[in-house]
Amino acid sequence: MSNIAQSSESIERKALLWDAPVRLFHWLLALCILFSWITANAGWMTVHLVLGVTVLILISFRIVWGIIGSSTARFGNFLTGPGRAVRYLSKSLGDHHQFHGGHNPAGGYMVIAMLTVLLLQASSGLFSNNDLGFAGPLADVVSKNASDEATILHAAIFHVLVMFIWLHMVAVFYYVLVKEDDLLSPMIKGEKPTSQLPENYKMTPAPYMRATVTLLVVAVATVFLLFR
Amino acid sequence: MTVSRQVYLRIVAVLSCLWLGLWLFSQPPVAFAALNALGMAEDLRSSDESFYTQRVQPVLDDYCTSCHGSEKAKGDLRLDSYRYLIFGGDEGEALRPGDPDRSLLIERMNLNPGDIKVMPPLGRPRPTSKEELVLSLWIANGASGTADPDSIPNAPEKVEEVVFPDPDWSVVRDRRSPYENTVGELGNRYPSTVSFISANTEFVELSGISLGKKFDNRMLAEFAPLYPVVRRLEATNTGLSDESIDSLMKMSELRVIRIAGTSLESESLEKLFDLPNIEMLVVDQNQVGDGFVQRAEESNLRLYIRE
Repeated sequence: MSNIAQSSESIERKALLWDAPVRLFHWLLALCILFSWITANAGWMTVHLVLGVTVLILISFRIVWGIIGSSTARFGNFLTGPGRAVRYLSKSLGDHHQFHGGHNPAGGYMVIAMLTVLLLQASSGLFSNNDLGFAGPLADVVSKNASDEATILHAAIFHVLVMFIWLHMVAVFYYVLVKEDDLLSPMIKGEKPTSQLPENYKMTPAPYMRATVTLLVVAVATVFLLFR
Repeated sequence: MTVSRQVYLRIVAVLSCLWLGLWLFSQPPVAFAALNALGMAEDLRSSDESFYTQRVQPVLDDYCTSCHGSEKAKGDLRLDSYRYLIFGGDEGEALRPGDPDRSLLIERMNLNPGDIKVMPPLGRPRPTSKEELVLSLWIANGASGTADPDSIPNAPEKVEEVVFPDPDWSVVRDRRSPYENTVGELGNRYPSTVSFISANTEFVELSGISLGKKFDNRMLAEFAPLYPVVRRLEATNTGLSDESIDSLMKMSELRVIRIAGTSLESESLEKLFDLPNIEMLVVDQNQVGDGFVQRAEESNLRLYIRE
């Protein structure tokens, strides 16, 4: 009896925080960014192009999922006014900590900023060229000068992206190591201990079929628009 | 595992500075500036009179800097100045002073034309073999930015570029406009008789060859509006006679007259020597009188007598 009671106390209750589509999106995006960098340096431009289009599809999916997806994925769930985000951030740097069911107010802006930078990076790549016979699928739609400008932008935005990724990792590990708020495991397994969630936390998952259809539609539309 | 806020922020600060430092030092201009400030690297300079400025940079400007210049630096490589040439690009140094064959700049030029990395890329103008030799010799002699041209005596002679200035088309248009309509009308009326000598001039050539004897004094008079701009007159075997000489004398720009086979006689033809710009005259033997050849020589024109 005492063993059962002990094992009951050690079983921590968990709740679903991030659904599979969000998690898959997050890690696929990370892999695409990493391999985009590798392929750009290695000169494997065709693979680089495929990865860039994949990033575009993922970002487009996330934007749509932020409208019709699970409750924690929706932009309306975590986007707040900038003033609230700033107040939250300054409190976070102090001793105060408040658990959130999803992105916190500052994190919400990080999401938007990251999506924007990635969208700019992938989009500028579409119009870029390397003057060695390789060009993005939309490079011929614009003038050579414009394509060259897009190429310069594409290279410059990479540095901004690296900064944002660094900031993101600094923030995540700040919460994990300093605030003892595990942001990492939920993005891998989906669940978070209820002790690290607000009391009134409730997550409404969206059907996986909706995610699948959304992804298919977005992927087909992207490929059609770029390569017709 | 937990850490205090202060420890964490210090770790982040150190890592960020380390990363920033590594990144900055990976940028050749920054690394060089630091080494130069510490006295560990010499100044990178070129002089105006150096072999580099006189012979090497012009080649790079002609074939390379459109893609490797200040506005566009493919592969992060700039070739628009000595300094940046030494810095190199994404794939490392462009030069190995003393060893042209292993310098990336020369290696890329010597790649197979089908190789995607060949420079300049396929389809772009390529340096001549002499220009490539200039680059190789410069690198072999240490790739200096200040060594004077005499330091590489076996370099090919510099080819002086002859540049023909583009005509000022607005000036050409203004000069031609008084005659455009007349040339058009007369050309329609008498095909193959009148045309502008070239696109960038207002001067015309008048030719009666296609009309033969029909091209007579009266017909010549119809071209009077064009007299001031007639530069060449082709009247061989036409119906012109001595009465046309007054018309011919009004063609002050006339340089070449072919008038053999007409009935103009020596006395009238001699008046043509007084045309201010006459350079060449072609006549028949029977049109040449006593002293004609001598007076032609005195006028400094080329006289051709058709036998």
